[in-house]
Amino acid sequence: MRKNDVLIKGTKEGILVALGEGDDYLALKRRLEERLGSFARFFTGTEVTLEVGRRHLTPSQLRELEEIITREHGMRVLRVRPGRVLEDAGPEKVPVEGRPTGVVKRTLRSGQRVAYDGNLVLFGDVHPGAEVVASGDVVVLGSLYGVAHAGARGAEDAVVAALRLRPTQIRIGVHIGRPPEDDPPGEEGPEIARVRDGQIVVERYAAMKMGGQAERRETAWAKSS
Amino acid sequence: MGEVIVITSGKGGVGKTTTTANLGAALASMGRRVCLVDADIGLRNLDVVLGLENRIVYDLVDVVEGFARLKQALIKDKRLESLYLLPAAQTKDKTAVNPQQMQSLMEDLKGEFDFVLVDSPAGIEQGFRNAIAGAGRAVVVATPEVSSVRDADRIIGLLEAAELPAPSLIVNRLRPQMVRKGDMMGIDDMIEILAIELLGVVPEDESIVVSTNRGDPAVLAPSSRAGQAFRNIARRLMGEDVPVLEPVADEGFFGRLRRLMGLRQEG
Repeated sequence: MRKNDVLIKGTKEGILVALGEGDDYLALKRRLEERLGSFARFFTGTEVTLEVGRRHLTPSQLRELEEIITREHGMRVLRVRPGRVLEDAGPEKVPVEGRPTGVVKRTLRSGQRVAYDGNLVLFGDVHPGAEVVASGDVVVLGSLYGVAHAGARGAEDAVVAALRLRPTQIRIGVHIGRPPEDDPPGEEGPEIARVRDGQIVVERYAAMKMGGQAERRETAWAKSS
Repeated sequence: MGEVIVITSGKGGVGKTTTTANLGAALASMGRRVCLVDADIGLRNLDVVLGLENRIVYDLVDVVEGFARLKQALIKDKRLESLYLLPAAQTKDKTAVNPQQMQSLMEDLKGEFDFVLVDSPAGIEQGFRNAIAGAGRAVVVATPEVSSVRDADRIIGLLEAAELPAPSLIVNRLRPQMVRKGDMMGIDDMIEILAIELLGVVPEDESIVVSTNRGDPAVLAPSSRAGQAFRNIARRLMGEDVPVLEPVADEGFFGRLRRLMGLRQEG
């Protein structure tokens, strides 16, 4: 990690904000604002561990950094701890396949939200009113009834896949789609949603073979405002 | 400038959300510009009852926190041109918003709409205090049950303490047949205890269950008896003088026949 840099990473315990070494506090503060700003509202409401590393901060500096995280970005600082030095996950524009993958093993009930900077695999169901958010792909090994957001930092090539894809809404990158209102849901079985020509389309997953194309039996979804 | 009306009750399950959705739809169908605000942060429902859940992108908390502009968060109804919804957040809780923020939000909405109806959460804690902040008027919903009336009484006291003008009452889910037999509290009993003005009476109606589950307000179905009652209440909110009629029990074909033949024995 470079000097006075800030690393933001999804972990099992929520979001980790790790501060790099260096003695330029103002540069660090600027970098924190910049890094958090690039996530927009992606992490709102999530819990944050702030790792100060070997850096020495005065109590008022620490308070100031905590306020940037909570006040301006709506996250909750759960704990502050001195940390090990972590390697950066890489530049921000990692292609979907090169991203780290997080695994969550539980069912998300209404009001629950899981966010991960990387691909997210969920062993469980996503109930209506629950949300899964990832900067890469979202794979639900269960039924997806709630909201899924893949490519939450802009990756258009991200996909949402589920064994049973009946979501309230799917978002990929900046695109938002909801199931067609009158169209009854198609047959049972795993399906995959992706962006094609600026619109979210859903297709059966089963026919997707190595290197081959998915069977083109897609349903275009209504664009949400 | 529009009017902000909070729909509240204290007790849960008496029909606040159904009332809000139906009054909003009724007012909009009569050409008024209406915004429905779901103040039940963390337990939102109004979007589901209106069938608009899958259109939510931003919510009330996003607006208050400045992540989204008000116009971005407002969802236009799919049936009525002049009906809008400001949904609650589901993944946050009531402490995400404070009464001052609600008040300034209501000020903004008042400028855009003729009616702003705020669906209050059950309870008397922060969610309730948020819901009444910025309201110019309150409507209390109560069912003819002792527990509901008790909670309504408590709420009326809190509304008075908050210096809102005297609230009016909607009696919901009245079953005239039971009242006649003396098995259910009547409207007069409720008014006597609560001592507030009666805004309307909505009869128990099974079609409400169907329309609520389907996401289609009952007022839009011409045959629904509850829908008719909500339409009348909406007209009263608009200042029209519509007399409050106590719903009569459906006496059935033989009952009507007996009455016509003068054979009916009144109990």
